[in-house]
Amino acid sequence: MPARDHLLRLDGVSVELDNGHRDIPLVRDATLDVRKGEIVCLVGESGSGKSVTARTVMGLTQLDRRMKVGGTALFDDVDLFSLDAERMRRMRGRDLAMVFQEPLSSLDPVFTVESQLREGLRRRERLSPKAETARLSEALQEVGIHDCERVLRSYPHALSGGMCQRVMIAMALLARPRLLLADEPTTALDVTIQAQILELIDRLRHEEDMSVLLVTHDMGVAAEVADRVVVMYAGRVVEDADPQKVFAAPAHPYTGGLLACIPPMVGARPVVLPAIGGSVPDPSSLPGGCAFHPRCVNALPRCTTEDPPLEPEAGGTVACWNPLTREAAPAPELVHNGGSA
Amino acid sequence: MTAVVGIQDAGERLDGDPILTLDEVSKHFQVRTSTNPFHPASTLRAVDGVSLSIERGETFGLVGESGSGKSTLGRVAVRLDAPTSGTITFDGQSIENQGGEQLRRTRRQMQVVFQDPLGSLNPRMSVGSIIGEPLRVFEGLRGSTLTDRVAELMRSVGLDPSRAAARPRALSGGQRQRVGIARAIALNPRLILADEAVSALDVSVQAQITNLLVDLRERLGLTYLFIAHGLPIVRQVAQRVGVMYLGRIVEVADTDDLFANPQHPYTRALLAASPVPDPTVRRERIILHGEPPTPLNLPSGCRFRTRCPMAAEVCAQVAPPVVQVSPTHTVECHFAETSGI
Repeated sequence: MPARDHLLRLDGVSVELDNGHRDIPLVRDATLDVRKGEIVCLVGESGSGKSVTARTVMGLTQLDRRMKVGGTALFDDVDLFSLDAERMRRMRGRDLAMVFQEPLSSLDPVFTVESQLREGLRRRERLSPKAETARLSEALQEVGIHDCERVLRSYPHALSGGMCQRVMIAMALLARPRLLLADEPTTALDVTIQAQILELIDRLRHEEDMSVLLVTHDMGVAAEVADRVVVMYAGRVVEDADPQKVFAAPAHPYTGGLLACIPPMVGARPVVLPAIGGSVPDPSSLPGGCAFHPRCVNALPRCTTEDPPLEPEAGGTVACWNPLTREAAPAPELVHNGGSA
Repeated sequence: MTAVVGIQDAGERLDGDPILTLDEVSKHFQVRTSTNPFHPASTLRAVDGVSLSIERGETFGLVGESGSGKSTLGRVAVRLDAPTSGTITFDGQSIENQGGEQLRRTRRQMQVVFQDPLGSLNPRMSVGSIIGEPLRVFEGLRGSTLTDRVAELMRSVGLDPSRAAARPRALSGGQRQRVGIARAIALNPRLILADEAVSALDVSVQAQITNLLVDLRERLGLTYLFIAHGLPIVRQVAQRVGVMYLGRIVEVADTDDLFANPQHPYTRALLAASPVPDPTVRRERIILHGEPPTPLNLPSGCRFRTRCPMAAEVCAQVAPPVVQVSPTHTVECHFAETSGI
C-alpha cells in the first residue's frame, strides 16, 4: 500500500499517567494506520486503552499535565504530537473532529443547539448570518433531522439521546473533517437508533470520503461497519486485520475468546458460555510478559516472561507467541490457566 | 378481555404452576410538564395494562428499549413500587395491596440484582457485611454462624471468602456483581429480578456472570425475571421472552420461537438492528425511522404505528387485538395473521 494512502499513522504511541509515585502505562506501543475513506474499528474491553488512544490523537489527553505521550502520530506527514497548542486547536474542528459516547454531557446545557453549532461553524469560516443558518439546517438534514427549526431552538435536555448524538455528529461534520474520531458513539443508544447512526456514519464516509476511527467494545458493531479491526488489550494492539479474517479466524487468543463468549443469535444455545477467566488487569499492576497470559488458554512458558511483538500473521498482524492460527503447541508445554473474576 | 385470556393460556401450557402472575397491571405517574402551578399534571403511562405469568423455575426475559417500561414493570412485579391498578399474585397470594410486615415477608422471597454493582453496594461496608446484612436483619444470625454462612455464600458465587473484609471499590466489576448476587440469594428467595444485571460488565465477564446466574437457577431452584436490552444475552438465558414497547408487552413466545419466527414488526426490527459479530451476515436491515413517542402522549390505536413500516389506517383507529399465533406465542398486531405466518 503506497504511503500516500494513509491519512493517519500511529507509530509506537505510548501514554503514561504520572500519579505522583510512578508512571502508569495506559497505552503501550500502539501502532496502527487509518487509510483515506476507511473505517477502522478499535475494539477492546474497558481499560484496554482504546479511548485514550483516540483522545490522544485528538490532542485531548495531552491537556492533562500528568499525562506523558510518546511515539508519533503522522497525519498527512505532520506529526500531531509535535504541534503546539495553537496549531493543534486549528487542526481540531477542521481536519479532526470527535464524537463522544455521552451526547448529553458533551453538549453545553445552557446554550441552544443553534448557538453551539454556530460557534463551531464560525471557527471554520465566516459567513453571513443567513448563509450560516442555511448551512446549519443543511448539516442537520444530513444527519437525518428533519424538523431542523425546532431542534435548532432546543436546549440539549429537551432532545432524546439519539437526537443529541445526531447533533454531535452534525457539529463534527460541519467542519468537513478528514478524520472523524468516534468514541463509542452508539453505546448509550438503543439498538434501533444505533442502526440509524451507524448507517449515517457509513454513508457520510462514502459521500465525504472521510476516514473514521471508531472506538467500540461491541464486536457486533465492528462487524457491521469496519473495513479493518484493531483489537487492544491492556494498552497494547494485539491484533490488526480485515474483519473477514478477524471474525472467521481470529489469530490472538484474546480476540478468539471475546468472540466465543458472545451468545449466538441463531442455532443451538451453548449450555455454558465459553467465558474468558479472570478479568482485565489494572494498568498499575500489569502481569509480566504478555499481559494476557494469566487469562490465556494458549499460554506457553515464554509468554510469562517476554511480551510478544506485533508481527505479520496469516494476513494480518498479531502480538502473540502462540496464535490460534498456528498449529497448537504440544499440550504439556501449555501453562495451565483457569480461575474466575 | 382477550388480552388476558391469550397470555394466561400461554402460561398454562408450560405446566400450569405460575409463581408470579400479573393481571392487567398498570403503573402511571403524574408528572408536571409545566412550571405553571395551575397547569394540570400529565399522566405518564409507564406500564399500561400488562398481563403476564411466570412459571416456577423458568427465566422470563423481558426486552425493550429505554423508556419501554421494562424496569418499571420489574419494580412493580417485585413490589418495590405499588401498581396503579391490576392484580399481582405471588405464590398464590395477592400482593398488590400488601404493606408493612406482610410486604416485608413477601420481599424476602423476591430479591433484586441491579445493573450497576458499584452503585448498589454500600461503599463503606465490607463485602462480608454487605452479604451478611439480610441474614442479620431477617434471620438474626450473629458471630461465627453468620461468618460461616457468608463464606458459604461467597464460595457459591465464585468469590474467595478471604476477601470478605474488602470494600466494593477494591473489587473488579465482575466480582462486585458476584457480591450483589450473593446478597440476593442469602435469604433463599424464590424469585430474582435481574434488572440489566450483566449489561454494564465487560463482554468476557458478562459471560461468566451469565453462567453463574444459570447455574444458581438450577442449583437453588430459582425463578428469574431477567430484564435486558441486549438480545443475545436474553436468548442465552431465557426460556420465554416478552418484548415491551411503550408500556405494553407486544409479543410473548418461547425463546427459540421468538428469535426464529418473530411476528410483531417491532420485534423484527429489534432483531434486525441487533449487530452480530459476523461481517458476512448482511441481513435485510429493517431500519426504524424516528424515535419512540413519549409515554406522556401515546399515539391512538396501536402505539407502534408511528414507526411501523406496515402501519395502515386501522392502526390509528383501533388498538390491536391479542393474536394467538400458537398456544405459546401471542402478539398484539392487526397484521399478525397476514404478515407471513
